[in-house]
Amino acid sequence: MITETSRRRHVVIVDDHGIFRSGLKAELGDAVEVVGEAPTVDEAAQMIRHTRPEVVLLDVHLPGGTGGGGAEVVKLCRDLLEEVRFLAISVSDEATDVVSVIRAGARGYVTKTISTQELISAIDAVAAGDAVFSPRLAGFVLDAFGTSGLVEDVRDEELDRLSAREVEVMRLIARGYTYREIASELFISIKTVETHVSKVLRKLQLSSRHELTRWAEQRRIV
Amino acid sequence: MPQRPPLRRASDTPVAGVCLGLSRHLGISVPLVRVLFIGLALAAGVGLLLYCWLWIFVPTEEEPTPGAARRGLSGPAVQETSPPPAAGSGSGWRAALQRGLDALTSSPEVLLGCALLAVSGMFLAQLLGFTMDWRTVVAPAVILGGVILAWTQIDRTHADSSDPAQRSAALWQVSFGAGLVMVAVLVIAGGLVGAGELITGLIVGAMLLAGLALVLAPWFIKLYRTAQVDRERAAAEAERADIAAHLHDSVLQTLAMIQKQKADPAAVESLARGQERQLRAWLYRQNAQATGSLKDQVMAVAAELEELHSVPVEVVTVGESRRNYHQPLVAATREAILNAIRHAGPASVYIESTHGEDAVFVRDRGQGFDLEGIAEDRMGVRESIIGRMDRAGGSARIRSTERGTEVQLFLPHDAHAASHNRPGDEGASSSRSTQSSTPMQAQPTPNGREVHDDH
Repeated sequence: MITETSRRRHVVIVDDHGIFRSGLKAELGDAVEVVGEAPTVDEAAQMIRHTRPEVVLLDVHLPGGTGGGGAEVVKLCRDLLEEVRFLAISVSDEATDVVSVIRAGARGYVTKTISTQELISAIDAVAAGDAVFSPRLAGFVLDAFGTSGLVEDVRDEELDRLSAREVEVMRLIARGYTYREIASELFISIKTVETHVSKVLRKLQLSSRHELTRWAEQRRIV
Repeated sequence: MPQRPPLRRASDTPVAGVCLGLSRHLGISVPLVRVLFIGLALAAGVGLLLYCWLWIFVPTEEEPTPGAARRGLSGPAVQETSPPPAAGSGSGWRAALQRGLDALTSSPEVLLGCALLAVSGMFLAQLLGFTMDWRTVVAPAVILGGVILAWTQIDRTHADSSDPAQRSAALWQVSFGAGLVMVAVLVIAGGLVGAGELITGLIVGAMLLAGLALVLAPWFIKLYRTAQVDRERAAAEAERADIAAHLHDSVLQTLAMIQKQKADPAAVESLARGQERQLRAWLYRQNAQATGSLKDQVMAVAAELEELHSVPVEVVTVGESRRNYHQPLVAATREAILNAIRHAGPASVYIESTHGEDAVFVRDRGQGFDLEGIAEDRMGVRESIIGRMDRAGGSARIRSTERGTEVQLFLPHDAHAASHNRPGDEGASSSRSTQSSTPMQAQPTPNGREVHDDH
């Protein structure tokens, strides 16, 4: 999934804690080029419009704006989503936080305890247009959509349910498998795994299934 | 001149404690004050009015007062002066008389008896031929009863206003008292004016009341709101203090320890992780503590092992288990996590509960091991994981490659511990591994417990 790029990726870091921003910047080092930092919703939207990075590392909880946090930043930049990809990075375990920022349009979700190498490959994946699911996010998805899955893939256009294959992929992600391992486990190509994950992301974003919101509300404690 | 105790209504008295409080304040003996009040009451009800006046405006000794708050007293403000001086400990008949009077006037039964005597006296008078208007006697008595009924609620307003049953009881009492008073007043008014005039008067009175209510309502509502806001502010303040105390006890202490141990990265990391877990539990899982679900139990095990070995263990859960008894599954999971973090490093745990079974996957990214070679000599994997799951009626699989190991544990919901009353059943677990995956007949669980406790 790592595409060969001669130049480094442009990244904006949005987090209200200065210590975390500088720590993340130092951690990423030369792997990416941090073109901007922002601590609040409004400054983040402005900075993103100004610098047009490839990837925005976005904290879920942010001050400013109308109180919508990271999800609000994504919504403010909705017209740029083709160009700028958002990767949510958070310490929060709350399903509502995670699901809200994903449904706003973020391409992935990782926790702040992720290793540097994993974070860099997650940035690459998101920049290439793929989705990045942490095991925990995969767990959320399975919990929200149910683990049974459709027997056949024919009703793929239905947004409210996952196909059997997608459930399998989500389950393996939740079990801690990498895309490569999932591919060899299911005898499919890595590209196919990425396609499945992107489809799940799309369902998560577009599904109007009211169970999804109700589930997120019920599961405030995860 | 000696300092007088403040004027407070005493508690634990028959009516409202006015007389006892007054006697303490003035330094006169209680019976004297009571006799005085009864005498005044007989004199056209002056004593009653005075009594009611003091009832309303004198606080009880239990009510906190600004002065008491300033002095930091939490108990009754008059405690130090409260034991009344043993009056008339001196000689002879004066002391006896005082004690008798005290006994007579301090009991509500005696007061009630006097009232009944008065009523019977009136009956007697009527029998003897004196005509009297009952309305002048009964109506005031009913008013008095209603007032006392309603007013006894005044002193209780602060206590337990949260209990709905008590609150509705109080409401009933007050409205019943108010009803009694209204009826009695109407009866009196009916004696003074004719029916038509009474109705006009009622209408006028109602209109006046309505007008007054219109003017005063905003004021009362504001008063109520202010009290409400004050109460909420106090609650918020208490919560803030609670949070501050928690942060101080845990987070600040940990930060201080981290600063001291900055030379030792391993210690810093384990401190930070432990603190993170604790804070997370406190923030997000306050209501879910110790529910005993599979998820909670596995998370507790993971947290414990993580702390013990300073290796991160991530737990992801999907669904809620329908079983009540998770001990074998949790114990096997614990063993699997322990193996992973001992031999391979960070582990991730995935729990999935469907309507058919509970499944647990424990995955690490270590070197892996040769299952055939190890299964012979290591009791850990063979006995604590595979054997345990077999005995519980489930199954266990282990997949190990050079890119890591995954332990898979499955326990069907309708599985019963594969234990019968045969005592020699224990050793034959290998032969049962095929048969135990099929559900056994319903078997009471005490047997199962015995088996699990052996390990």
